[in-house]
Formats: sequence, C-alpha cells, structure tokens
Amino acid sequence: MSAYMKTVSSKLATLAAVAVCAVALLLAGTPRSLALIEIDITQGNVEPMPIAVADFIGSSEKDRQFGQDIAGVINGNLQRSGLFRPLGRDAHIEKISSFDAAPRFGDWRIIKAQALVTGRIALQSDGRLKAEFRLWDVFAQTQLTGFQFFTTPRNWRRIGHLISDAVYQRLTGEKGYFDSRVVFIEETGPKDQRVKRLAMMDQDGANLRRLTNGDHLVLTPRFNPKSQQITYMSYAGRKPRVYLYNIETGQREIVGDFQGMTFAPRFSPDGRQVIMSWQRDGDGNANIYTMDLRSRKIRRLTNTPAIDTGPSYSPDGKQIVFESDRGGSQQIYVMNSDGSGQQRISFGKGRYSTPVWSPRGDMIAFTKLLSRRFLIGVMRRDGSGERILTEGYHNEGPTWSPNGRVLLFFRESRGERGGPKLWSVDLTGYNEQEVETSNFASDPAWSPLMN
Amino acid sequence: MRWSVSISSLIHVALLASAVVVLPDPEEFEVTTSEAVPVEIISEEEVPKPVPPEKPPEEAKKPEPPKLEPPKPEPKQEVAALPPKPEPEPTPKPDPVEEPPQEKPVEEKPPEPKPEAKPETPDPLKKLIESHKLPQKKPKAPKRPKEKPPERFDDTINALLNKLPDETSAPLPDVTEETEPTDTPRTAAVSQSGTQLEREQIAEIVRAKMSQCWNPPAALKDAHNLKVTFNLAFDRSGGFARAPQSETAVSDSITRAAVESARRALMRCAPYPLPEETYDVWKDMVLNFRPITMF
Amino acid sequence: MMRRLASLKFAAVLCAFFAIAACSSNDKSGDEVGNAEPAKPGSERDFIVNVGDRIFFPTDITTLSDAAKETLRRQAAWLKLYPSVKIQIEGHADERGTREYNIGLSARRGSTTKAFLVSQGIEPGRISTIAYGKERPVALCDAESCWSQNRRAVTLITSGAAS
Repeated sequence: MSAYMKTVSSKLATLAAVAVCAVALLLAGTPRSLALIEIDITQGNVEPMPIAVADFIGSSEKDRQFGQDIAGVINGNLQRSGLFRPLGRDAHIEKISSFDAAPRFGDWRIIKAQALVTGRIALQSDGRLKAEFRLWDVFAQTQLTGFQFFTTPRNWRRIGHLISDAVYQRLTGEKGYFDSRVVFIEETGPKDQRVKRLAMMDQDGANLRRLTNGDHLVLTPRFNPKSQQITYMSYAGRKPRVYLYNIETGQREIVGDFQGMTFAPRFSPDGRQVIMSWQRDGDGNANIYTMDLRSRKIRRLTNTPAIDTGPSYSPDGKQIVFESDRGGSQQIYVMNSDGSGQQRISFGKGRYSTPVWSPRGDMIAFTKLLSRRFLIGVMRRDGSGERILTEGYHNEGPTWSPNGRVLLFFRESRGERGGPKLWSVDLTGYNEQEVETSNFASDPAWSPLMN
Repeated sequence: MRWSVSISSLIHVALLASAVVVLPDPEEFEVTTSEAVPVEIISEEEVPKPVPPEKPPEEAKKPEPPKLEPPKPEPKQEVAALPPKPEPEPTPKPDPVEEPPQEKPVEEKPPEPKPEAKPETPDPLKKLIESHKLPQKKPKAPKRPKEKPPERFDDTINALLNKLPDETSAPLPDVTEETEPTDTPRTAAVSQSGTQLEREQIAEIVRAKMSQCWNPPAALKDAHNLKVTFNLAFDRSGGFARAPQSETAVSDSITRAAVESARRALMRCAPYPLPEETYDVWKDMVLNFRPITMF
Repeated sequence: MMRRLASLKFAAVLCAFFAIAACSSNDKSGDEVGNAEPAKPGSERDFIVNVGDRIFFPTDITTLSDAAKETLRRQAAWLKLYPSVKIQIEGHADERGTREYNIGLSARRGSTTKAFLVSQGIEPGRISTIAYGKERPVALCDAESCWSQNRRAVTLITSGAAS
C-alpha cells in the first residue's frame, strides 16, 4: 500500500516535473519546438446536462416517501430550468443503498449521467425532518458538494428547492432561483366581470395561497426585496390606491395619504421606499413619486404633462427606469434616483412599456407593442442590445428570476373566454413554457431567494 | 349537570353565532399560513474531497453529530447562502461588463447522432476539406445586432425575434463547423513537431470529441473572457496518462463550474481516436476551452 | 335641430352600445334601459337615454372628438338643470395596451372629460373621476369593433338624481 503510494507519488512528481518543463519552455517564448500541441475548444454541446437524482434513502417507509417526493421536486426544478435533463428513475441501474458510500460511478456513466444527486431523509425524534444530500461528478468521480438541512416536515418542498439551488449553483456557477415565490393576480369569472385576487405560490406553482377575497379589484403586486411585504394596487372603496400587504400578519395598509390615484408601485432595493405613479386630483397626468415608508416623506421625481409610470429601480438603487409618453408614444427612460438626468433609452420601432431592471443590473426587460403584437424583450441598461425573447397576440409584464436568468410574464389568449396565463422563458429566448395555474393568472412578480 | 352542560353549550353556540354575525368577513386575511422559514443548514459540511474511485466518503457523517445539537446557532439566513463558495454576492454583480448579450444560443442541439460516428472515421482529410468549405456559417452575430436599433428594425416581427434560430445560427452543427478559422490559428501557428496537416488532424479529432462531450454551463454566455486551460498527457491508446489538470486559477463559482465541466468532458470523451503514428505530436497537449463563440 | 345629423349618429352608436350593455348585469344603467316607460326627467335614466352617458376615444388618444364634445355639452346642460346631481367620470381603455399605462391613459381621458364639463360651467366639486384602465371592458370581442366601445369615458350619477 505504502509502496504503491510511493510509486504513484514519484510518478506524479516526474509528471509534474515534465509539466513544469513544458510550461517553462512555453514561457521562455522560444520557438515551441517541444512537441506540444495547443488547441482551442470553442464549441461544445449546449444540450441540457444529463443528471440523475436517485431516490433519497430513508430507514422508514415515511422517510422514503419524503425522499421520493423531494427527489421529485428536484427533478421538476432542474427539468424546467432547461439546463438539465434529469434521467428517469427507471433508467437508474444502481439502487443507492448507502448515503455514506460513494456510488458506483460506472453504473451512472452507462446511463450517461454527468452528475448524480444522492440523499437521505430521516424524521427526527423531535419531529423535525433531516435531509442530507451529496452531488457527485460522475466522470471525475468526486463529490462536488453536500449539505444537510433540518426543517419541519411541512416544509419538505423547500428542502427540494434548496437542494435544487445548491445543485444548480455548483454545476452552472450561478446562484439558483428555485427557493423563491411568485405573487400574482388570480383571475376568475367572465371577461366583463372578472374577479381578481392577490395570490402567491412557490416558483414551481405549488403551495398556492390566495391573499385577498376578490371583493375589490387588485392589480400589479410586487415583493419587498427585504421583508415579507407586498405592495399592490387596489380599488377598495372605489378609490384606486397603492397598498402594502404584510404576508406574515395579513395586514393591509394604504401607502400614504394621496389625493387622487396612486398606482404602479414597486419597492426600492432596500425595501424602505415605495416608488409609484400618482395621478393627483386636478392634475392631467400621472407622475412618479417615492414615499419613504418610515418618515412618510414624499418626493416628486418627474414633472411632465405626460403619463410617467412603471418605475423600477436598478439593483444598486441609484437609477430608475420607467416609461413615459412624453415624446408622443410610450418609450423607456432612465433617470437618477433623485429624478435628475432623465433620458430616453428605447429607440426601436413600436412602443415600449413595463420596464423592469434585472437583479444583476445589466439588463432591462420590457413589453413592446409592435404591429398590433405584444413582445417581451430585453435590452442593456443604455438601451442597446435589444433582443426579443417572445412575441404573440398579447404578452405583457415581465419579471426576473432572482438570479436574472429567467423571465416570467403573462400571455393573454384570444376570445371572449380567453384570459391570461403565466409563462416563463429564459434570457436567451429558449425554454419557453407555461407555469401551470388552476385559474387565469396575470401580473406576476418574482420574489428574491427566500433565505 | 345536564343543565350546566346545555347552558354552557348554548352560550357557546350563541357566542359563535354572534361572532359570525358581528365579525365582518375575514376579508383579506385568512389564508396566510405562517411564513416561518425553518430550514436550517446544519452542516456546510462540504466534503468536496475528491473521492477517488469507489471509496466511501464517510467523513461526511462525522460532522453531523455535533451539528445536530446546535441547529439554531446557524442563522437561518445562512440557508440560502449555502452555496459552497465564499465568494461575494454573485448577484449584484457590478456587472456592466456590457458585453453584447451574446445572441441566441446557437444551441438547438443538432441532431447529434452524426457526431457519434465522426470521430472514428479516419478520414480527417475529408473533414478538413468540408470544414474549409463552410467556415463562415459561424453563428456570428445574428441579425439583430446589439447596436442602435433604428435601422435594423424591419417591420416583420419575425425579424425581431432574435431568439429564433435563423439560418446563420442553425447550420447543421457538423463536427466540422467549428473549425474556427477565425480564431487564432493556434494549431497552425507554432512550429513544432508534426506537419501542419498532422496537427490539423489532431485538432479536428479533439474538437469533434469536445463538441459532443462538453456541456458548458449556461453562465458562460456572459463570461466572454473566460479561458480554461488544461495540460494533458496521453498514453498511446489515446487515454490519459494522468488525470487532466487545469492550470486555470479558480477565482469564482463560474470559473470553477467551467473548469469542472471541461474536466468532465475530457474524461467522458476518453479515449481519443488519435492516430498512433503521430503519437509524438499529441502525447502532450494544451487545451484551451473558450466558450466565446458558442452562444 | 341644428345638430340633427350628429345626434342621429350618436343615437345609433348609443343604441348599439346599449344592446351590449344590457347584457352586463352589473351595469346599473343597463338594467333600466330595457324598461319601456319614458324616463322621468332628472332621473338617471333620463340622463342616459336622452343625454348620453358616455363618449369614445380613438386608440391611444385622450383628446375629445367633436361628437364627444357634443355629448358633453348636453351633459353640461342637463347637469345645470339638476344642480344637486353629483357625478363621477370613469375613464377606460381598451385591452390592447399594457396595464399601468392604460390606467394612466384612462385617467387622462377622465380628466380631459372633467375639464371640458368644467369649461361648460359645471362646478368642479360636483365631479369626481376614477380610472379603470383596461379592467372593465363592456365589449368582449378581439376586434376594433369592440375595442372602440371600450375606449370610453362614462359619466355616472353618484347622487342627487330623481328616482
């Protein structure tokens, strides 16, 4: 054994020496007379990465059921991301029986899995659920990462999301987005008598919660990036106003004492301000204002005889993107957070609306109206690099995933019985798919990662 | 006894009834289930220890027992932050690297069946010829470039749909097509052993293999300057004489994912059907993974 | 008499509208229209049938057409006859726009309408406005024939009418 090790290490040393020589020669800049061939690889295979999520093991039937369910959540997330292709359990050759032993990598290579997730679930005596997982690189035969979590059994889906995020991050190098939620407007009833409710669900459509009872028209909910709060617009009492909703307590309150109508609210990145449009009584047009939620101080940012609305902060809070028809038609503008430096950035054909700043800061998503079609697109923060991700009869209102890689929007179908549904598409314009909801759904807004 | 029971229940019913009558509808309250986020990360017990083939990583378990006790010490917030790497907030990436949002991924994975066979076919010459024929099919900037919009907007919405693969981007991804003629012709530039043709052959074979086996992480779309370099040593049968080593310093999670994806690809593709007679030419090799033109 | 033609045209549009509005049960005016009895002067029905409670706008336009001004002049005249009546003007947009902008657009339609009535001598305090954006369509087809009915400002009597 030690002899073997020695051989190996001496071999390694030799190799290392050779490598060093080679590098040294390269560095020396002498004509590379060495037989060293250098090749650039610029082309890969961009199909989704095959990955296997083995059923999590457990010592009781109940544990195993949780394990299977959690593996299902992970498979669903990875599949929908478009970046992974989970291999069905039917294809698995090895049945994982020990969490603490390395898997038989050969068995997973045969089915072409590049990565493997194994896990173990154990209900604890104190009633909590313990979940552990490991992510394996099947070809390098190494463990890439591994964590364990404790939670209440009721939160088992979140375990699945947290593991999905860890896997996603380790394999793509980017933060994930699975442990997040979407707030939206659920719509029921015929088109001319629509009932709209504030609703919230997990990013994958599970755990739907209705937050209002449909008595009042409600629109455009958005998450507070820092706390359990939603801001939205409600017509309660036939007075259209911006409201706050506390997710934990269920309490609602009107934002500020505005004469007239307030709408199109959003939080600042620090969660302390609400930015919105205010149509003052006696004023012909909506302008953009902020209100500090603690001091209640109101600040006017735009002052034009035009409709200024749809404000959205850059993630650093220094700039605001919004839409205005001051130039004759809806276009996208950017200004500093104090209202200075207002400047148009959209110059393409058509009208531009609903700008939303990406959480990564480099892009702005928007709705574009062109030739009676509604398109969803993105552009860089200076308006360049416009790219359309999807188009159709009516697409509207994009919102970014917490990692800025996926957009959610709503798509309205035609006809008297038509209505909106939520769809997602990734930043590259691929992997478009519907997010299943039991009723019509519109005005989605993605939360940040939950923890 | 009876009496008290019935009185009591009467009162209860009355109370309940009055509650129903008096309390307004639970308006917008009801459904809020507690928001608690009790997921705790107990151990960040990363065990990224390269577990050499088939050896049980039991080290993972030892951290548990102790952790089990102090579940709360871990601030819940940590949970999401779990990501193994300690690097600074990747999200608020100060970004403005402002690179052209690389056009559409050329993905649309090609009918990959063909590549399957390719590598084996020992007529690289033919491939070479082909490759020189369709070089400019390169998925270069598709129609909707990133410059100023005005002129580039034609009326047809389709033309706007950058996402749709257009002819330029959907050339059959023959193994041949990535002969990067535009790229620095590294292979040809340096003078060393082997004829130009031999070297081209070798490069061709390796690239063909990589175009099948390399699954670059999606984030590379935005990492345009990223270059991952591997020093390889082959044995005569085209397998690795030693495990592929990357020279690239891993400074962030994206680079790490890139390095790992490249390593996976190299191992997945081995052995390489390289011509034995030119073994001296390819026994040592430097591979640069540069996803620049991929998306 | 002088504006005969215009009135006829208006009446035609109005009839078309009512045919549709009658179907929408939540519209108070709609219920009453089916009623064959003559409208009592000073009543809501009188206002709707004999004056006209709504005006229409072209796409993305918030200024008043001649026909719209005509209607509003009649509204102003009627409101002067019944000075205790208070009204609310509802601005609406069609569904072929984005949500928030349409709220702004319909608000502008409402304020333009209000401003005109005020210019005709109606006390601003009698008039409130509300903007519904694209949230309250009355015509549901996916065609201009419906969208044109949805781009509207409706004058609603909130109090003071004869019953």
